[in-house]
Amino acid sequence: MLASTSVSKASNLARIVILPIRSFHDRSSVPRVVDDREKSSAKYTDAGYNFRYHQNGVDALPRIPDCKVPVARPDFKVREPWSVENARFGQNDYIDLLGDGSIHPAQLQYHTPTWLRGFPGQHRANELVKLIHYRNLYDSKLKQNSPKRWHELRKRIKYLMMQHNYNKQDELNRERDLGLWDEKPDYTFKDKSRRSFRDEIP
Amino acid sequence: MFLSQLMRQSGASASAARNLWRKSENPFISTPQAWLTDLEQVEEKKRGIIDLHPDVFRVAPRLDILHRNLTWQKVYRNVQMTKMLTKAEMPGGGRKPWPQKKTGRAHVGSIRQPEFIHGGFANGVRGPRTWFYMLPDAIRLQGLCVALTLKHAQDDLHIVENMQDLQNGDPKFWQDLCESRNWGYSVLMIDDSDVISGGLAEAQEQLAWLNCMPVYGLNCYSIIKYDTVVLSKNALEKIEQRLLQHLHRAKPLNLKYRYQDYKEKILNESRAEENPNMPPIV
Amino acid sequence: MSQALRSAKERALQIVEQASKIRIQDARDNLGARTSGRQVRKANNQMGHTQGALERAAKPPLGWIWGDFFRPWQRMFPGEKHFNADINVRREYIPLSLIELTRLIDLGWIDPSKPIDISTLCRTQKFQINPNIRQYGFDLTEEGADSFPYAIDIEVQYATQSAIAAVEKAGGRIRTSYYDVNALEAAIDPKKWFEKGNVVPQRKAPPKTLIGYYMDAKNRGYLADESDIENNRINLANIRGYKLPDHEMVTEPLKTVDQVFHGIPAGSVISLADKKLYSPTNEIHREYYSKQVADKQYS
Repeated sequence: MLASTSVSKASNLARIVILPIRSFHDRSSVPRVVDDREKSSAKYTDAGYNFRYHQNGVDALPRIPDCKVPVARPDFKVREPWSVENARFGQNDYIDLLGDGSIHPAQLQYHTPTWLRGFPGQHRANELVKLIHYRNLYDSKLKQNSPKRWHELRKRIKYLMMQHNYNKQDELNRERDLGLWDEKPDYTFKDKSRRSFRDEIP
Repeated sequence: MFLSQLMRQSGASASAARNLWRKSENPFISTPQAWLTDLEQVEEKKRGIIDLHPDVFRVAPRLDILHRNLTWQKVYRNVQMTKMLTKAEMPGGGRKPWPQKKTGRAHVGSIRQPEFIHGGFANGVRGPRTWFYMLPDAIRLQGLCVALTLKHAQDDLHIVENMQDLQNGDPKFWQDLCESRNWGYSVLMIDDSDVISGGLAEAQEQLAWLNCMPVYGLNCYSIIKYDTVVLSKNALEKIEQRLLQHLHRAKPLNLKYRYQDYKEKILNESRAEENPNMPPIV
Repeated sequence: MSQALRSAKERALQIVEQASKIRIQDARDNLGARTSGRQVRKANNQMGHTQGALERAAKPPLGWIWGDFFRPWQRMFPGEKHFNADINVRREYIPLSLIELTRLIDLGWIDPSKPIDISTLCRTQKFQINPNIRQYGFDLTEEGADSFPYAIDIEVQYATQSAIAAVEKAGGRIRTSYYDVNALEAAIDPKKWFEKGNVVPQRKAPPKTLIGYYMDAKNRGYLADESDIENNRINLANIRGYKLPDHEMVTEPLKTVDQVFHGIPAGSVISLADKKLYSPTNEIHREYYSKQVADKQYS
């Protein structure tokens, strides 16, 4: 009872607030010549919007009354925390510590494409590094059997190279932290096939 | 605390004494203990008390470490197979659709530009995307210890003599058993061997909330997800042995996971999955 | 118990014991442990257009002098011609000081009653040797020589006179010996080597430049004559002015010249699963491995 009276009071208040007050700013301080004085003074006072400064809660969504077509919404997703795979979620994630040490969880990522198993994720190794890895593994197969994809891959790698070298700040300075290559290159490595007879071999 | 007195009252037979490997000499570190029961009958019968290693079952309850472990377990396996094609990879689009100037339209060079409705995507999701990373061993070990500690501290960790070849495989029996022992909604049984037989095996096929795992399947997520964790005595031994062995190992605990080290093994294993001629799509 | 409860751990666990069941959603990070980057107001945001951004951006090639890509500094002014010329063939030895060794023994990583060689040292996981970048073993240095207490039987690749003196003063035995790359790889990680099913290799003779070092009894080289070494031992004690122990403390036989592991002859295959050692049966192989005259090794 009390609640309903307060609501009606609030709505009355709201109605009082939007009483004809000139609410659109369309009048400059400079006087204008008008063709029809009546027309210029008759203004829209209600653009179909209620100010709801003092009205708590959430407005109902706009709905067509008595419409039989259900509102489009995503299907309700049934979550089954105790289905077989969900009940065993996470099994073998610690197998390298609790097992005999011969298996690592990176090997067990069977849902991942083979060439990405155990490869650092894209938050660490960016797309360029990933594509270079793909190219290194499958270059000959691509060239031989799927030249279009080979071409596209090369285009993409070239594009990303340009992107990283010219348009991006150098993000690749920590590429050796990814675990794909040794932390430090062998600076002193010289190709033995190119070794000169002048090289001093003690 | 006064478990030995309690034990005497309840008439338990087995003693608590266990050789705890590299247990700290610090007198202020108390040894956690647990009841030893069995799964033969519905009612809980206390067979004795068993000592647990304080480095595994009584560590500081670091919920943040646990959080890192749980987050890792959820995230590291994720794969996104979406590949949004760029304008270069979409068919067509080689021709300039209309002259550069004097048409009043936008200056465009291809119908596959990203502004077009059926154009390619700029900065889209590219290819199979993974979030794989490995937490350092130290964090994962500590996470396991924290999870076990929490279960023990909240009285949700139980030790049983044996899980193999139990007589009763009736789901009703197991439901009553868990009900009468106040084991909560879900129960995780951990045993030493990776094959389980007998009543428990039959029951866990029927009941979704009752599951068995080998010791190497143990993980933070499952320990926390299940209301109760039940270890067999052998499993307890093995878990302690493995965890302590790693905690005291000579190798550093912060060793970085390097793809380099596993690349050969992973690729060799997956060779059978691959087409001998065609490279994998995406 | 009241004492135990004072520790932060026990107090925290007491809270946990009284709390309701901890579930997945209850685990969370410490407050403020992980923050996303500092947010700046729009006025202060430089969006990568700063001096620092320029400094971190891509750089010109090394030695580039303004205006000329093809004559970088190092080509215009080549400097010393043969500076570091042999860097690609120079041998590197991991320094191992006597004080480090003492500490490893004190902490129980190494058993002083057993012979110490590369395998023993690498088993402690405190050292990494990578033969691929021309690391050839250990160099025993003299830090801690004043107070080295253990009578050990050690085999290193290089040792200073002070280190030799310190080991012998304590009653130990020291030999310097050469491991070629293959033998070194086996010695660093024997388990991996055996699991691969590789044959235990022969240690090859040192290269020409090192033969002199390893044949010198002064350096306790493994190719030197034992009587010479004994004379040198007494001599060194006299020079340095310490007294050798009266009786031999280390009496185990030495490794043979071509032996990598103690007690395992070259040419055998080890099965870790069966805990067995398989010797070669083929007559040619047996003869080859029993010669004990190591192959000559080049470089």
